[in-house]
Amino acid sequence: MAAAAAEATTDGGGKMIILISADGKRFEVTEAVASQSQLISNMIEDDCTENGVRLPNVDGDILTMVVDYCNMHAGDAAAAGDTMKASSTEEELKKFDAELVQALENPVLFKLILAANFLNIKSLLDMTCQRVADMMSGKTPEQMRETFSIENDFTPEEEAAIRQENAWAFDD
Amino acid sequence: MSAAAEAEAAAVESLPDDVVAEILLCLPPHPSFVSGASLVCKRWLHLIRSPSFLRRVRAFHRTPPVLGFFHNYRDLPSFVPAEGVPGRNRMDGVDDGGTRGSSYWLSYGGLILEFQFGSQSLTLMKRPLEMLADVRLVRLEEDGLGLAFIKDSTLHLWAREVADDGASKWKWIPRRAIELDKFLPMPRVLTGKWCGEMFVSISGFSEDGNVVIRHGYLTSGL
Repeated sequence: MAAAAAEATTDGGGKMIILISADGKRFEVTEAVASQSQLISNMIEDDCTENGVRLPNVDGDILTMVVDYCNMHAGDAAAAGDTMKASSTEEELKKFDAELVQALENPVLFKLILAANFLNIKSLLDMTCQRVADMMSGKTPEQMRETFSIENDFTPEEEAAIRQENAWAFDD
Repeated sequence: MSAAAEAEAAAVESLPDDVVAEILLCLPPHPSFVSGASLVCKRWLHLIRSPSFLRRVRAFHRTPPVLGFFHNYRDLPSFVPAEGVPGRNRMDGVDDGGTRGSSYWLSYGGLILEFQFGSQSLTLMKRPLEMLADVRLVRLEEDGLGLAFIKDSTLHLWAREVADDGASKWKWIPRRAIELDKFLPMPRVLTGKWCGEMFVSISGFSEDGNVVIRHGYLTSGL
Protein backbone atom coordinates (compact mmCIF):
# COMPACT_ATOMS: atom_id res chain seq x y z
CA MET A 1 0.00 0.00 0.00
CA ALA A 2 2.84 2.31 0.87
CA ALA A 3 4.48 1.71 -2.47
CA ALA A 4 1.22 2.36 -4.32
CA ALA A 5 0.61 5.55 -2.40
CA ALA A 6 4.17 6.66 -2.99
CA GLU A 7 3.50 6.55 -6.73
CA ALA A 8 0.22 8.44 -6.44
CA THR A 9 0.01 12.08 -7.43
CA THR A 10 -2.14 14.92 -6.13
CA ASP A 11 -4.42 17.06 -8.24
CA GLY A 12 -1.66 19.63 -8.41
CA GLY A 13 0.66 17.06 -9.90
CA GLY A 14 3.09 16.82 -6.94
CA LYS A 15 4.36 13.36 -6.17
CA MET A 16 3.26 11.96 -2.80
CA ILE A 17 5.50 10.28 -0.27
CA ILE A 18 4.71 8.45 2.95
CA LEU A 19 6.33 9.30 6.28
CA ILE A 20 6.19 6.61 8.99
CA SER A 21 6.63 7.55 12.65
CA ALA A 22 8.36 5.48 15.34
CA ASP A 23 4.98 4.15 16.50
CA GLY A 24 3.90 3.22 12.96
CA LYS A 25 1.63 6.17 12.12
CA ARG A 26 1.64 7.02 8.42
CA PHE A 27 1.49 10.48 6.91
CA GLU A 28 0.97 11.10 3.22
CA VAL A 29 2.49 14.39 2.04
CA THR A 30 3.58 15.94 -1.23
CA GLU A 31 7.25 16.03 -2.09
CA ALA A 32 7.12 19.83 -1.90
CA VAL A 33 5.90 19.61 1.69
CA ALA A 34 8.32 16.89 2.73
CA SER A 35 11.38 18.40 1.10
CA GLN A 36 11.38 21.26 3.60
CA SER A 37 13.22 18.64 5.60
CA GLN A 38 16.74 18.64 4.20
CA LEU A 39 17.05 14.99 5.24
CA ILE A 40 14.01 13.94 3.19
CA SER A 41 14.92 16.29 0.36
CA ASN A 42 18.25 14.44 0.05
CA MET A 43 16.42 11.11 0.13
CA ILE A 44 14.08 12.27 -2.66
CA GLU A 45 17.09 13.26 -4.74
CA ASP A 46 18.64 9.86 -4.12
CA ASP A 47 15.37 8.20 -5.10
CA CYS A 48 14.97 6.21 -1.91
CA THR A 49 11.49 7.23 -0.75
CA GLU A 50 9.63 4.61 -2.77
CA ASN A 51 8.60 2.45 0.16
CA GLY A 52 7.91 5.31 2.51
CA VAL A 53 10.34 7.09 4.83
CA ARG A 54 10.72 5.47 8.26
CA LEU A 55 11.54 7.90 11.03
CA PRO A 56 12.41 5.64 13.97
CA ASN A 57 13.14 8.48 16.40
CA VAL A 58 10.08 10.66 15.80
CA ASP A 59 6.81 9.85 17.59
CA GLY A 60 3.49 10.11 15.79
CA ASP A 61 2.34 13.05 17.96
CA ILE A 62 5.46 15.01 17.15
CA LEU A 63 5.40 14.04 13.47
CA THR A 64 1.79 15.33 13.33
CA MET A 65 3.07 18.74 14.42
CA VAL A 66 5.98 18.62 11.99
CA VAL A 67 3.69 17.68 9.08
CA ASP A 68 1.22 20.46 10.05
CA TYR A 69 4.10 22.91 10.13
CA CYS A 70 5.44 21.76 6.75
CA ASN A 71 1.97 21.78 5.17
CA MET A 72 1.46 25.33 6.40
CA HIS A 73 4.86 26.50 5.18
CA ALA A 74 4.87 24.68 1.85
CA GLY A 75 2.88 27.60 0.42
CA ASP A 76 5.75 30.04 1.08
CA ALA A 77 7.39 29.68 -2.31
CA ALA A 78 4.14 29.20 -4.24
CA ALA A 79 2.57 32.38 -2.86
CA ALA A 80 5.63 34.53 -3.49
CA GLY A 81 4.47 35.43 -7.01
CA ASP A 82 1.18 36.90 -5.83
CA THR A 83 1.87 39.81 -3.48
CA MET A 84 -1.67 40.12 -2.13
CA LYS A 85 -1.86 36.45 -1.37
CA ALA A 86 1.66 36.39 -0.01
CA SER A 87 1.02 39.10 2.57
CA SER A 88 -2.09 37.45 3.98
CA THR A 89 -0.34 34.10 4.00
CA GLU A 90 2.59 35.61 5.85
CA GLU A 91 0.29 36.90 8.56
CA GLU A 92 -1.42 33.54 8.87
CA LEU A 93 1.95 31.82 9.08
CA LYS A 94 3.15 34.12 11.83
CA LYS A 95 -0.01 33.43 13.80
CA PHE A 96 0.25 29.70 13.19
CA ASP A 97 3.93 29.62 14.25
CA ALA A 98 3.30 31.68 17.37
CA GLU A 99 0.41 29.47 18.43
CA LEU A 100 2.39 26.32 17.73
CA VAL A 101 5.34 27.18 19.99
CA GLN A 102 3.41 29.08 22.66
CA ALA A 103 1.20 26.09 23.36
CA LEU A 104 4.02 23.62 23.92
CA GLU A 105 5.01 22.31 27.32
CA ASN A 106 8.69 21.66 27.97
CA PRO A 107 9.00 17.93 27.19
CA VAL A 108 7.03 18.27 23.94
CA LEU A 109 8.95 21.38 22.94
CA PHE A 110 12.25 19.52 23.36
CA LYS A 111 10.96 16.54 21.38
CA LEU A 112 9.93 18.90 18.58
CA ILE A 113 13.42 20.45 18.65
CA LEU A 114 14.96 16.98 18.39
CA ALA A 115 12.70 16.12 15.45
CA ALA A 116 13.46 19.41 13.68
CA ASN A 117 17.17 18.77 14.24
CA PHE A 118 17.00 15.16 13.00
CA LEU A 119 14.87 16.00 9.97
CA ASN A 120 16.98 19.11 9.40
CA ILE A 121 14.15 21.63 9.02
CA LYS A 122 16.06 24.82 9.70
CA SER A 123 13.16 27.26 10.10
CA LEU A 124 11.39 24.99 12.60
CA LEU A 125 14.62 24.41 14.52
CA ASP A 126 15.36 28.15 14.66
CA MET A 127 11.84 28.93 15.83
CA THR A 128 11.77 26.30 18.58
CA CYS A 129 15.28 27.16 19.80
CA GLN A 130 14.29 30.82 19.94
CA ARG A 131 11.28 29.85 22.04
CA VAL A 132 13.52 28.12 24.59
CA ALA A 133 15.91 31.09 24.61
CA ASP A 134 12.96 33.42 25.21
CA MET A 135 11.94 31.27 28.16
CA MET A 136 15.47 31.68 29.55
CA SER A 137 16.02 35.39 29.13
CA GLY A 138 15.37 37.47 32.20
CA LYS A 139 15.81 34.44 34.46
CA THR A 140 18.53 33.91 37.04
CA PRO A 141 20.65 30.73 36.75
CA GLU A 142 18.56 29.22 39.57
CA GLN A 143 15.31 29.98 37.75
CA MET A 144 16.68 28.51 34.51
CA ARG A 145 17.59 25.28 36.31
CA GLU A 146 14.10 25.15 37.77
CA THR A 147 12.40 25.81 34.44
CA PHE A 148 14.31 23.08 32.64
CA SER A 149 14.79 20.71 35.60
CA ILE A 150 18.56 20.87 35.35
CA GLU A 151 20.63 19.73 38.30
CA ASN A 152 23.27 22.13 39.58
CA ASP A 153 26.47 20.10 39.24
CA PHE A 154 28.80 22.87 40.40
CA THR A 155 30.34 22.80 43.85
CA PRO A 156 29.64 26.01 45.79
CA GLU A 157 33.33 26.93 45.31
CA GLU A 158 33.15 26.46 41.53
CA GLU A 159 29.96 28.49 41.34
CA ALA A 160 31.48 31.30 43.39
CA ALA A 161 34.57 31.35 41.14
CA ILE A 162 32.48 31.68 37.95
CA ARG A 163 30.34 34.34 39.57
CA GLN A 164 33.43 36.30 40.50
CA GLU A 165 34.85 36.10 36.98
CA ASN A 166 31.61 37.45 35.57
CA ALA A 167 30.76 39.71 38.50
CA TRP A 168 30.14 42.69 36.23
CA ALA A 169 27.32 40.84 34.50
CA PHE A 170 25.35 40.01 37.62
CA ASP A 171 23.27 42.33 39.70
CA ASP A 172 25.50 43.56 42.54
CA MET B 1 11.41 14.16 41.56
CA SER B 2 7.98 13.66 40.00
CA ALA B 3 7.46 11.64 36.83
CA ALA B 4 6.72 14.79 34.87
CA ALA B 5 9.87 16.49 36.14
CA GLU B 6 11.89 13.40 35.20
CA ALA B 7 10.48 13.47 31.69
CA GLU B 8 11.47 17.14 31.36
CA ALA B 9 14.95 16.51 32.66
CA ALA B 10 15.37 13.63 30.25
CA ALA B 11 14.19 15.84 27.40
CA VAL B 12 16.59 18.72 28.00
CA GLU B 13 19.49 16.37 28.57
CA SER B 14 18.63 14.47 25.41
CA LEU B 15 19.37 17.49 23.22
CA PRO B 16 22.74 17.16 21.48
CA ASP B 17 25.43 19.74 22.26
CA ASP B 18 24.94 21.34 18.89
CA VAL B 19 21.27 22.04 19.60
CA VAL B 20 21.91 23.34 23.12
CA ALA B 21 24.52 25.67 21.60
CA GLU B 22 21.90 26.74 19.03
CA ILE B 23 19.52 27.66 21.87
CA LEU B 24 22.21 29.58 23.76
CA LEU B 25 22.99 31.48 20.54
CA CYS B 26 19.41 32.74 20.45
CA LEU B 27 19.83 34.53 23.79
CA PRO B 28 19.97 38.32 23.51
CA PRO B 29 23.50 39.46 22.56
CA HIS B 30 24.32 41.22 25.83
CA PRO B 31 27.04 39.12 27.51
CA SER B 32 25.20 39.04 30.83
CA PHE B 33 22.58 36.67 29.38
CA VAL B 34 25.22 34.18 28.35
CA SER B 35 27.06 34.64 31.66
CA GLY B 36 23.89 33.73 33.52
CA ALA B 37 23.39 30.63 31.39
CA SER B 38 26.99 29.53 32.00
CA LEU B 39 26.16 29.18 35.70
CA VAL B 40 23.33 26.70 35.11
CA CYS B 41 25.44 23.54 34.79
CA LYS B 42 28.88 22.32 33.74
CA ARG B 43 27.71 21.26 30.30
CA TRP B 44 26.37 24.70 29.48
CA LEU B 45 29.50 26.38 30.86
CA HIS B 46 31.67 24.12 28.74
CA LEU B 47 29.62 24.88 25.61
CA ILE B 48 29.67 28.63 26.21
CA ARG B 49 33.42 28.72 26.87
CA SER B 50 34.36 26.81 23.75
CA PRO B 51 36.08 29.00 21.14
CA SER B 52 33.67 27.80 18.46
CA PHE B 53 30.70 29.16 20.44
CA LEU B 54 32.20 32.65 20.51
CA ARG B 55 32.75 32.47 16.76
CA ARG B 56 29.14 31.40 16.25
CA VAL B 57 27.86 34.21 18.50
CA ARG B 58 29.76 36.74 16.40
CA ALA B 59 28.45 35.28 13.17
CA PHE B 60 24.89 35.06 14.51
CA HIS B 61 24.55 38.51 16.03
CA ARG B 62 26.99 40.22 13.64
CA THR B 63 27.34 43.59 15.38
CA PRO B 64 28.32 43.22 19.02
CA PRO B 65 26.11 45.10 21.48
CA VAL B 66 27.20 48.51 22.76
CA LEU B 67 28.06 47.97 26.41
CA GLY B 68 28.76 51.60 27.08
CA PHE B 69 30.99 54.48 26.17
CA PHE B 70 33.68 56.65 27.69
CA HIS B 71 32.59 60.15 28.47
CA ASN B 72 35.14 62.92 28.89
CA TYR B 73 33.97 64.83 31.88
CA ARG B 74 36.28 67.57 33.09
CA ASP B 75 39.35 65.76 31.81
CA LEU B 76 38.39 62.64 33.68
CA PRO B 77 36.97 60.02 31.33
CA SER B 78 34.38 57.85 32.96
CA PHE B 79 32.68 54.76 31.66
CA VAL B 80 28.98 55.16 31.10
CA PRO B 81 27.19 51.84 30.71
CA ALA B 82 24.76 51.96 27.80
CA GLU B 83 22.17 49.86 29.47
CA GLY B 84 23.79 48.57 32.62
CA VAL B 85 22.75 45.07 33.36
CA PRO B 86 19.90 44.37 30.95
CA GLY B 87 16.55 44.83 32.53
CA ARG B 88 17.58 47.80 34.61
CA ASN B 89 16.73 50.60 32.26
CA ARG B 90 14.92 48.49 29.79
CA MET B 91 11.23 48.95 29.51
CA ASP B 92 9.29 46.00 28.32
CA GLY B 93 6.75 48.42 27.03
CA VAL B 94 4.28 48.67 24.24
CA ASP B 95 3.81 45.17 23.02
CA ASP B 96 4.05 44.98 19.26
CA GLY B 97 2.42 41.71 18.46
CA GLY B 98 3.15 39.38 21.28
CA THR B 99 6.84 38.75 20.78
CA ARG B 100 8.91 41.19 22.75
CA GLY B 101 8.52 44.83 23.69
CA SER B 102 10.63 47.85 22.98
CA SER B 103 13.65 49.54 24.47
CA TYR B 104 13.86 53.28 24.71
CA TRP B 105 16.76 55.66 25.03
CA LEU B 106 16.58 59.32 25.83
CA SER B 107 19.04 61.57 24.04
CA TYR B 108 20.18 64.98 25.15
CA GLY B 109 18.83 66.54 21.99
CA GLY B 110 15.24 66.07 23.07
CA LEU B 111 14.71 62.92 21.07
CA ILE B 112 13.66 59.47 22.16
CA LEU B 113 14.94 56.47 20.29
CA GLU B 114 12.69 53.43 20.26
CA PHE B 115 13.87 49.97 19.29
CA GLN B 116 11.16 47.38 18.69
CA PHE B 117 12.40 43.87 19.31
CA GLY B 118 9.63 42.23 17.31
CA SER B 119 10.14 44.12 14.07
CA GLN B 120 13.80 44.97 14.81
CA SER B 121 13.14 48.56 13.83
CA LEU B 122 14.29 51.92 15.14
CA THR B 123 12.01 54.94 15.49
CA LEU B 124 12.85 58.47 16.54
CA MET B 125 10.31 60.41 18.58
CA LYS B 126 10.32 64.02 19.66
CA ARG B 127 9.44 64.79 23.23
CA PRO B 128 7.26 67.74 24.23
CA LEU B 129 8.98 71.10 24.19
CA GLU B 130 7.73 72.12 27.61
CA MET B 131 9.97 69.64 29.29
CA LEU B 132 13.17 70.48 31.05
CA ALA B 133 16.45 68.68 30.73
CA ASP B 134 15.92 66.26 33.59
CA VAL B 135 13.39 63.98 31.95
CA ARG B 136 13.04 60.28 32.68
CA LEU B 137 11.34 57.55 30.73
CA VAL B 138 8.86 55.62 32.81
CA ARG B 139 6.49 52.77 32.32
CA LEU B 140 2.87 53.68 32.83
CA GLU B 141 -0.17 51.48 33.30
CA GLU B 142 -0.78 48.89 30.61
CA ASP B 143 2.89 49.07 29.67
CA GLY B 144 2.58 52.40 27.94
CA LEU B 145 5.51 54.74 27.54
CA GLY B 146 5.57 57.77 29.78
CA LEU B 147 7.82 60.68 30.64
CA ALA B 148 8.40 62.19 34.07
CA PHE B 149 9.99 65.49 34.92
CA ILE B 150 10.00 68.00 37.75
CA LYS B 151 9.16 71.63 37.21
CA ASP B 152 8.37 74.16 39.95
CA SER B 153 8.26 71.49 42.68
CA THR B 154 5.68 69.56 40.69
CA LEU B 155 6.19 66.10 39.30
CA HIS B 156 4.66 65.88 35.84
CA LEU B 157 3.79 62.61 34.19
CA TRP B 158 3.07 62.52 30.46
CA ALA B 159 1.86 59.56 28.50
CA ARG B 160 2.35 58.65 24.88
CA GLU B 161 -1.03 58.00 23.39
CA VAL B 162 -1.89 56.75 19.96
CA ALA B 163 -3.78 59.37 18.00
CA ASP B 164 -7.21 58.52 16.63
CA ASP B 165 -6.22 59.21 13.05
CA GLY B 166 -3.72 56.42 12.64
CA ALA B 167 -2.00 53.63 14.50
CA SER B 168 1.46 54.90 13.62
CA LYS B 169 0.74 58.38 14.98
CA TRP B 170 0.83 59.34 18.62
CA LYS B 171 1.05 62.38 20.79
CA TRP B 172 2.20 63.26 24.28
CA ILE B 173 -0.63 63.88 26.72
CA PRO B 174 -0.17 65.32 30.23
CA ARG B 175 -1.50 62.65 32.58
CA ARG B 176 -0.80 63.73 36.12
CA ALA B 177 0.78 66.61 37.96
CA ILE B 178 1.75 65.94 41.56
CA GLU B 179 2.67 68.86 43.74
CA LEU B 180 5.54 67.43 45.67
CA ASP B 181 5.75 70.12 48.34
CA LYS B 182 2.30 69.11 49.57
CA PHE B 183 3.65 65.71 50.46
CA LEU B 184 7.07 66.81 51.56
CA PRO B 185 7.44 70.46 52.42
CA MET B 186 10.64 71.95 51.13
CA PRO B 187 11.33 75.15 53.01
CA ARG B 188 13.56 77.83 51.75
CA VAL B 189 16.73 77.78 53.72
CA LEU B 190 17.90 81.02 55.22
CA THR B 191 20.71 80.38 57.62
CA GLY B 192 23.90 82.35 57.66
CA LYS B 193 25.33 82.68 54.20
CA TRP B 194 23.34 79.72 52.90
CA CYS B 195 20.36 80.95 51.12
CA GLY B 196 18.75 78.79 48.56
CA GLU B 197 16.20 76.20 47.72
CA MET B 198 16.15 72.48 47.81
CA PHE B 199 16.89 71.34 44.32
CA VAL B 200 14.89 68.25 43.58
CA SER B 201 15.56 65.86 40.78
CA ILE B 202 14.43 62.41 39.84
CA SER B 203 17.00 59.80 40.71
CA GLY B 204 15.10 56.75 39.69
CA PHE B 205 11.92 54.79 39.58
CA SER B 206 10.97 51.57 41.22
CA GLU B 207 10.53 48.58 38.92
CA ASP B 208 6.78 48.94 38.51
CA GLY B 209 7.03 52.68 38.02
CA ASN B 210 4.92 53.48 41.04
CA VAL B 211 7.43 55.17 43.26
CA VAL B 212 9.67 58.06 42.41
CA ILE B 213 12.84 58.40 44.35
CA ARG B 214 13.98 61.93 44.57
CA HIS B 215 17.13 63.42 45.80
CA GLY B 216 17.73 66.97 46.64
CA TYR B 217 20.55 69.22 47.64
CA LEU B 218 21.02 72.81 48.58
CA THR B 219 21.99 75.43 46.11
CA SER B 220 23.70 78.32 47.73
CA GLY B 221 23.26 81.92 46.82
CA LEU B 222 25.91 84.28 48.17
